[in-house]
Amino acid sequence: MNIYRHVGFSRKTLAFLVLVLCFANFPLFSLNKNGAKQSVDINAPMSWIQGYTLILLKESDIRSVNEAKDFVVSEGGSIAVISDAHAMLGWVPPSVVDRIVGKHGIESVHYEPVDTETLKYGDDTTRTFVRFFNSAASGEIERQYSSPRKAGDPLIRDALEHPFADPRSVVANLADKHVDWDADLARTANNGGIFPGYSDSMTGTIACMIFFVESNGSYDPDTYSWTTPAVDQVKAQCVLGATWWSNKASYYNKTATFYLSYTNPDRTEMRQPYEPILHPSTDDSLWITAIMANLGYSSGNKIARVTAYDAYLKSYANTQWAYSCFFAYNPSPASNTFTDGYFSYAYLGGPYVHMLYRNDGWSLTDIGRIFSHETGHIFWACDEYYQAGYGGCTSCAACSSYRPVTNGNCQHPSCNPTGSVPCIMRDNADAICNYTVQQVGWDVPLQTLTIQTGTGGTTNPTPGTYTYDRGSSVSVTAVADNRYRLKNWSGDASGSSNPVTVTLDSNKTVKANFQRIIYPPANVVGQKVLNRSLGQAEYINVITWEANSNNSDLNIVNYKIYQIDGSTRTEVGTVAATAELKFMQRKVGKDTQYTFEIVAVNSEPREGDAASVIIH
Amino acid sequence: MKRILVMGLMVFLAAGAAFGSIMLKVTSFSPADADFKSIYGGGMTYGGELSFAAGKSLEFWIGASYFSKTGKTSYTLEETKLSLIPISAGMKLKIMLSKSISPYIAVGGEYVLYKESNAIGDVSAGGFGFIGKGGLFVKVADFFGIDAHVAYSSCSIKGVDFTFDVGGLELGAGLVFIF
Repeated sequence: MNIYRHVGFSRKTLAFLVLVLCFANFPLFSLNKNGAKQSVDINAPMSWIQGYTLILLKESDIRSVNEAKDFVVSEGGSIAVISDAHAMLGWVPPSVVDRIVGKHGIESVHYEPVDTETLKYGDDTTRTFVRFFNSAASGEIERQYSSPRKAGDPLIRDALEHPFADPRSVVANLADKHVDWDADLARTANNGGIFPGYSDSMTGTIACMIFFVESNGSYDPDTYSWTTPAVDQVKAQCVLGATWWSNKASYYNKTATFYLSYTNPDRTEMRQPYEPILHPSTDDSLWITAIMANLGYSSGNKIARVTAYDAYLKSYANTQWAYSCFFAYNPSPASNTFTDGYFSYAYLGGPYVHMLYRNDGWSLTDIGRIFSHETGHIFWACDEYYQAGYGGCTSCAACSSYRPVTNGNCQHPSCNPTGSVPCIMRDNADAICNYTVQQVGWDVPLQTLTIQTGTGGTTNPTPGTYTYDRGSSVSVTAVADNRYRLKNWSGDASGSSNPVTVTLDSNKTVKANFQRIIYPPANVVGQKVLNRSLGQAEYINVITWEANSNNSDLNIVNYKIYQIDGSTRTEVGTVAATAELKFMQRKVGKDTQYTFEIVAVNSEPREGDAASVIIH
Repeated sequence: MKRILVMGLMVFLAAGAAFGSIMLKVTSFSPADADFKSIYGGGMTYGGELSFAAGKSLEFWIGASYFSKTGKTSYTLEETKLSLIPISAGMKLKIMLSKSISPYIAVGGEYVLYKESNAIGDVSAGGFGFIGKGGLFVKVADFFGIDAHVAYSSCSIKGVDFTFDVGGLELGAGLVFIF
């Protein structure tokens, strides 16, 4: 089994890279405080916090919560996290608050921190959600995010291959759980006999059960026991990790609402003989099978048991998808990795994530981003990090056959020799790339680019309307006809640089405007001549030229003569095109050097390119 | 310039009436200066000369003439106008071949007034030079004769930008009134 492995990677180097990359970003959209989309950077740090909303509910049963959730969504809100609790979190435009409060059990909507002392609901999950909301609304999370902190080692080989779940064992585990198994069997059959899991696409509603693994001392010594602050920290960070995905989904016109539930360590079902941190990660079946057995899932291996549990969870929470997440406790001075060096991992496509309380060198405030990363694997997102000798991605190839999306942001030089972009799946960055977006089952929204041209040229790509992934950068090159040049770009591009790069954060139109070149006069000759009478003399700058044959089809009406003095360009004369093409500047200095430019002017009038001449 | 000419002519006539002979002459002037020749070329001068005897074969003379010509500037070929007034004086040695025919030679100095006007500008100046000439006087009657002569002069003048010679070769003829 391939799981995290502790490696001798420079932590300082990685910390620097992670911090740098975390601040890199790509432009897309986000929700403003009113819940309306505005043109901001999708990958701007903490984009999810804008308009983050707490909704307090009268009832906490899952049916009532789902009803309230559906109502909020129908009124234009977006819900990130729900549970069997009197609270849910998401983004609700203030303009709809009056319409939803008092209906479907919605008691109040909050944008500012809520006084927990006066909170009438004392259940654990409600208070977890409220505390998390308060830390977000008060700016505490932003301060944590922006404060320098140490990043841990890379998440080496944390994406495990999708395991085989024996359907018979799964069915056996669900025998008395009143779970509708028929639909899942049908899905299995439609998937060529490969069990598709309960996390095909990160869309709709997703149930996640957080298990706090606790030992009972019957095999290993009960060395470490979860504390309330540690549990609260993990719960809050899981809310953060789920919120992050939900927020990102909204940019792609998807919804991802997480039903988060926690099985506290004081529950007897969580107590089993092993102290995980004293084992290699490959021993996780010891405590996972034990916990699953405690919960009544005792048939088959850990995969069959957790898969069955996920099926139950999905059915219970009435969600479309489900997965489990096991947290083992390893407070200091315990090792921050399993004995084999690995610390957090997940199976591609589910059924579970396993994490530690302390994950290698990562901060406790990074639990959320690691949880996001592992949740990405649950929904088939590939790893994008690479470090020589330790795995990660090694090419642009898809990491699974289930959803074979090219892993184009892989850090491996064979895939991105000039560097990949920050992404949650590369370095736990607060950013998401288009490849991950597709791997988790979101269609990258398409945007159109309409290219137009005026007279005098074409473009590459040729004029027309094209479709690209949102966020794509498209280079458009203007190709001018003979005797034409690019004048400028108009529409959603400007300037005259060629090519121009258009970032498709919305449908865009660019037009290449060309102009007929007015060529400079030909055979321009400048000389200084002496003009004298018997007793007097003057020197004259004499410039002569000929009409440029390339302008023969243009209505050249005159020529303008400019004198150049440093950066100053002063018009000093005009010569009609029908007159002798000659300009004289009289009484000039005998030993002074003069610079002139001569341009042809058409009837628009537009001046053409200049011919320069220097007269000594 | 005209006022000078008129005043000079009046003085000239009065002096001639008082002391000797007066010659009214026309000469063909060919400038020696190449630039002069290029810009203006030669032309006719008009003037007079007053002589009075200082002995049997020796005379003193004083004269003035006027030369005016338009030309073209060297590059722009714009019109340029030149006026010269040479005022000369000297001695003349006559050889009496017969009662009515007497060739002569003469030398003297001269002062030339120069004025030029064109698109480049206007300039006036003057300069001293010399003149030498030889001729033949034929007395037709007691009070009237005919003069033919050839003269060469040289007079350097400094203009605005150049120094040039306004002298040259003259071939002239005149009517001489003897008092």
